[in-house]
Amino acid sequence: MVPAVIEYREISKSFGGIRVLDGIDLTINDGEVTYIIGTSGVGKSVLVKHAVGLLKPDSGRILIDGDDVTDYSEAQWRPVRTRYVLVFQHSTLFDSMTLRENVALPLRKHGGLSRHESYRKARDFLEMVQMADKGDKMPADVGPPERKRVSIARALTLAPECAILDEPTTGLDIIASANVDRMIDHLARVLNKTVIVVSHDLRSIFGVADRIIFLYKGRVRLDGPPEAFRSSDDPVVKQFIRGEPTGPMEM
Amino acid sequence: MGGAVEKTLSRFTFGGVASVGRAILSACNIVGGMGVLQYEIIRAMVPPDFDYDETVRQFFKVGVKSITVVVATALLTGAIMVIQSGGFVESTGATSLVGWAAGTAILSEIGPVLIGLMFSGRVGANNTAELGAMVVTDQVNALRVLGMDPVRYLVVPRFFSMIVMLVLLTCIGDVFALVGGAVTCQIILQIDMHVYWQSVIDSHLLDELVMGLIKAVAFGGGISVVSCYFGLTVKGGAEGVGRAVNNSVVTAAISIFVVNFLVSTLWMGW
Repeated sequence: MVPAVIEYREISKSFGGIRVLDGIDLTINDGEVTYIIGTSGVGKSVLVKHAVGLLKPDSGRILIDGDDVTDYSEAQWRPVRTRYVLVFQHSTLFDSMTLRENVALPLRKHGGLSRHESYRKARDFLEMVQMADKGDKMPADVGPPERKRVSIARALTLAPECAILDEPTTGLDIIASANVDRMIDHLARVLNKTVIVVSHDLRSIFGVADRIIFLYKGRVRLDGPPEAFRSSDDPVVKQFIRGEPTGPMEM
Repeated sequence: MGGAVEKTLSRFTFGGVASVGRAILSACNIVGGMGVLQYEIIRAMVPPDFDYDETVRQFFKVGVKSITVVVATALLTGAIMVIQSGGFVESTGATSLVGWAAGTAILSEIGPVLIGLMFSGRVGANNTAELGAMVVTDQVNALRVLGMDPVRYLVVPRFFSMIVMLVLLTCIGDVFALVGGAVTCQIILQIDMHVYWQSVIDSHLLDELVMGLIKAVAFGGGISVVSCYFGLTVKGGAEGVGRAVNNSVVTAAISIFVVNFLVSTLWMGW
């Protein structure tokens, strides 16, 4: 049996009286590429933010590697976050630093490297995402796909056990999306990382995912391999796959 | 009819009380938040773990880029002090007091307060806007998910550099204010510059200088805590950043006057 790395137990979360997560029970397994999908506002990003302590559930427990982290303080979360790293939907690169400095920062802070060494190593990570030649540029000088790639490179400098990518292909053209898919595949198959991806991108999902979790109305509607998702008889799932504007799905 | 008037009056009275209550709660919330931030800054400084790059960046941004503003403010302040005391000096012929009057006011009060206010307007507002923009674009959360402490990485270098640079800027400002006074003395009051400088030296203004520098330390600490607090607690996108900058500048200015009053009172031994 594959060990669980993240366990959500009866997680509920509301914002301004609106219940976004409604008693989610879910286990993320080691080494899998898990896609969390669903319509906008269904709570996908909210769910993954709980896994790195950026949000606290109103009720329920969260376990990471078997440890209950629900009531962890900010200081207790810090070491966890270097193993379970979240890449935000928007790039969140530090705009006062060059791309190289952005990637070098965690290397200096956590790796204890000198500035010179961290820059050298940052170049290797930038090369991994085909951005080595643009290391001297500022985030504002490159496009969104490049910023996303650099954000992923920055996260990988921590050598995390699990990478959580929040909508990594949203807003990217088909070629840039394919590059991100290839990177996700590389993370999982070559570097043996557990990868959690929040996405709407069906092409990407069917190409890379080991497992799909479909959220609907704050609950898990479907949890299974891509084949189970594709062949599902659930009218809500069918509507989502077909992208039909009308159907049983309540928006 | 009477009932309706009573109801309206009661609504006004309770509405007014509720507004005052809300304002007091909000003020307590802000003061408490700043107290917590101050505690976190001190905790993050033990053991000292400064990010060298960020600290150097802040020293440059906070200090070097403020020199022009400080020099301009100081020169004019010194000149105004001498012009203000000019009438008294001319009417009494007590030219030997001109350096004492200007020096005392500049070193102990006007220099640190005006430079502190300029610093707050330029550096404090900029700091709140920068941190606020980082909050709304999730850059502060990005630091957290990289396993870093935003207080240690963002706030401590700002706290440290604002204190050090405001002290240095106050020293520079004091010098330029005295120079401004000397030039004004010579050109406008037609009093020989040597008389002015001799008067400054004879007045033994070391106490005033030290008090002014103590104020600069307190103002630097206050401006950094206020500006970082409002920056890190921004809510509501670009509009929220604008509101935070406004609140930060007003609160920093008030805190400068409060601290000035407290330091002066304690220094005078009242």
